Amino acid sequence: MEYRLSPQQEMVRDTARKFAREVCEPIAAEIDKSHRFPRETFDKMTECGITAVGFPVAYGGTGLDKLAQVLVTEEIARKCAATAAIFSIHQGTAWTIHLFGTEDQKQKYLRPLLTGGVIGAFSLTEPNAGSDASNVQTIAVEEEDCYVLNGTKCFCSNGGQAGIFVILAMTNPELKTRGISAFIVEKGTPGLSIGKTEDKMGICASDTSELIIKDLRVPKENLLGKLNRGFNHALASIDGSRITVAAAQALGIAEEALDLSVQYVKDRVQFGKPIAVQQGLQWYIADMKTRIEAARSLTYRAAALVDQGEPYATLGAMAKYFASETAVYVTNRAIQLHGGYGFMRDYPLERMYRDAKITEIYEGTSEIQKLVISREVIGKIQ
Amino acid sequence: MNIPRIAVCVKPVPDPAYYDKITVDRTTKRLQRGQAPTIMNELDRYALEKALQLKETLQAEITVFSMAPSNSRLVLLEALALGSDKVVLLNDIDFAGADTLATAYTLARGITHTGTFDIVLMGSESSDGGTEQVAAQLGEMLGIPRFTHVTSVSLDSQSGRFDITAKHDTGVNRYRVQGPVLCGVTREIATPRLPHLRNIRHCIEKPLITLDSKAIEADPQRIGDKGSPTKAGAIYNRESTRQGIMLQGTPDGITDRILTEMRRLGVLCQA
Ligand SMILES: Cc1cc2nc3c(=O)[nH]c(=O)nc-3n(C[C@H](O)[C@H](O)[C@H](O)COP(=O)(O)OP(=O)(O)OC[C@H]3O[C@@H](n4cnc5c(N)ncnc54)[C@H](O)[C@@H]3O)c2cc1C
Repeated sequence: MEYRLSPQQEMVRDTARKFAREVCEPIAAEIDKSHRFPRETFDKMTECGITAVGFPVAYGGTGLDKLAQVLVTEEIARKCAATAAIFSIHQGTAWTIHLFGTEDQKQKYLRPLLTGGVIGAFSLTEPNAGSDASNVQTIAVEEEDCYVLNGTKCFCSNGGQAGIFVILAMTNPELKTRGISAFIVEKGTPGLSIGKTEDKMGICASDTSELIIKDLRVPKENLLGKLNRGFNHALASIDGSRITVAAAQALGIAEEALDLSVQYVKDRVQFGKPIAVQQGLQWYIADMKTRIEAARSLTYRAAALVDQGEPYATLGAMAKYFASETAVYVTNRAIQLHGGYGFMRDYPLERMYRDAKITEIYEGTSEIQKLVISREVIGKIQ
Repeated sequence: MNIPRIAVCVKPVPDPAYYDKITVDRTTKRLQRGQAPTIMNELDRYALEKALQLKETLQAEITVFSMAPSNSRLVLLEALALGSDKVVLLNDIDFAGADTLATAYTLARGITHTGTFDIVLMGSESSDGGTEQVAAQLGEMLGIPRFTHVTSVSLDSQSGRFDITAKHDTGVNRYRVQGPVLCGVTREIATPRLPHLRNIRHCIEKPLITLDSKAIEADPQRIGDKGSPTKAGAIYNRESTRQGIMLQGTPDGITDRILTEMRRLGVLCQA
């Protein structure tokens, strides 16, 4: 079993690392405090091809692979989890269009998303449709040349900043999950407005908004994928995007928290010695590192499966579940190792702890991942 | 003038962010890089950026030269991804242990062997050595005008003349010279870019040529450890016994305690 990154993957990682250090890290605390969306960072990402990583060259992508997307998300999340969320959710939207779009749709929408500085957003969740995403109540009624959408979406990441949206709506309420369809909607289309922007505990610099949809006329050619197959399309897309949006993001946060902790226990002297000599604390470090390496193996392998064209949904769910819980565990321990200083806003750890929590929730909660995994392992119960 | 030909010298160095992981071997007196990743010397990145800008305006051709161990491949691939046309890696076990003189000699041999260049660009110094000697020595060995601490370079491609600004402690000097020239550059020269991720995929297809001491017909007495008059003397660990003290209380109280402490240490005269 070969288990190493290719030189190109290493270079992608190193480039993303440099980007994260030079562009993301210096403003991470500021944008967290002020809840400011770092639009300028997104533009810089577009400039050096980060937004396009892992997509086919024919649509403006950089080529490369899913693993490259993971490496980029991980490196950015190390320095600023909110930026990693903005980037990876944007890419998740593009990924959906890439998977299910027609050639015309890909030419029209992927290029601006990947190379034009246009931000993407993906909107499935509604007030009454969270984990039970099938309970979508936004309605799409077919007319001669368009679908007319009405409803309210919530928790839409990048919502207030996006130029291109993928929105899910009921095209046939009687068919339940088999009556949902996906639509590509451009910002500024009459009938689409941004409602409340959420005030969050973590990833504060990312934008999470409500979408108010009122008589929104979506041209027929903007139906994404097959009519009434939107629910499956959405789930299939999230199967892939959770590997980056949640697993890789969690991995990056955890790694940075560990690095900071290792440095700190060596520097901090109590009782006349560095606290690193305390075996109890050494064992924390060992636990943190072990979980991180396990999370990395799952995450990289899930991405490699995508690249090899193998089924990846179950392993992706495991990676997402394990990496996100690892991030919460590791950041929590890291604060403990830093004592009171870890609790202070002067240090980045409390932000990382707040940021880590989202990875257990979005792209399907931990509980939903366990549902996905156990269904696959146990199979259909007679 | 035909298409300008630019040589850029690039040194792979340990990432300064990992300096705490680097040690010095007490017997060989060489750096043990430990887990520190290898990156492109920062100022060389600036030199390469300048070359890329010249390429963009003048269709120049860029050849990167590096005397380095073979595990530096990523740094060289990065130079290709950034837009260099070709990399020449000078790699030989006998190059090991080179000081600045042997390094300059080896680079000079590599450059001369490879072709003629209108300008040689490099960082004024390296982040792990910091001697500022290689640029000057290399210029001498190539027998071309050489400038260090260069803050700007422009080329008039009609006449082949370079306008060069170099800074020194009290000001700047401006030169107008006929090429070829060598410039050791500083940070003012340009703002380095990151490689576009799309170019990373293809960099591996560009030429990366490895030359050993035979290929460049180097004098065995002038390369590596043998060719290096510099010998490391004693090596010391810098002992840091600094200890922070937290003072808490009212500003006046804290000020008094600082003054008392400074008097105790003899920094201030007794009141
Ligand atoms: C910051 C942020 C950004 C988001 N971005 C987006 C976005 O861009 N696009 C989008 O469409 N959505 C987005 N979401 C929505 C997110 O995916 C949902 O919040 C998530 O899926 C959970 O849904 P819910 O919040 O309604 O919780 P609920 O589904 O109400 O869950 C409440 C609790 O019940 C548990 N639970 C529910 N059902 C089961 C079950 N069957 N078995 C066991 N336990 C169960 C859950 O795990 C959870 O612990 C975002 C959310 C947040 C917080």
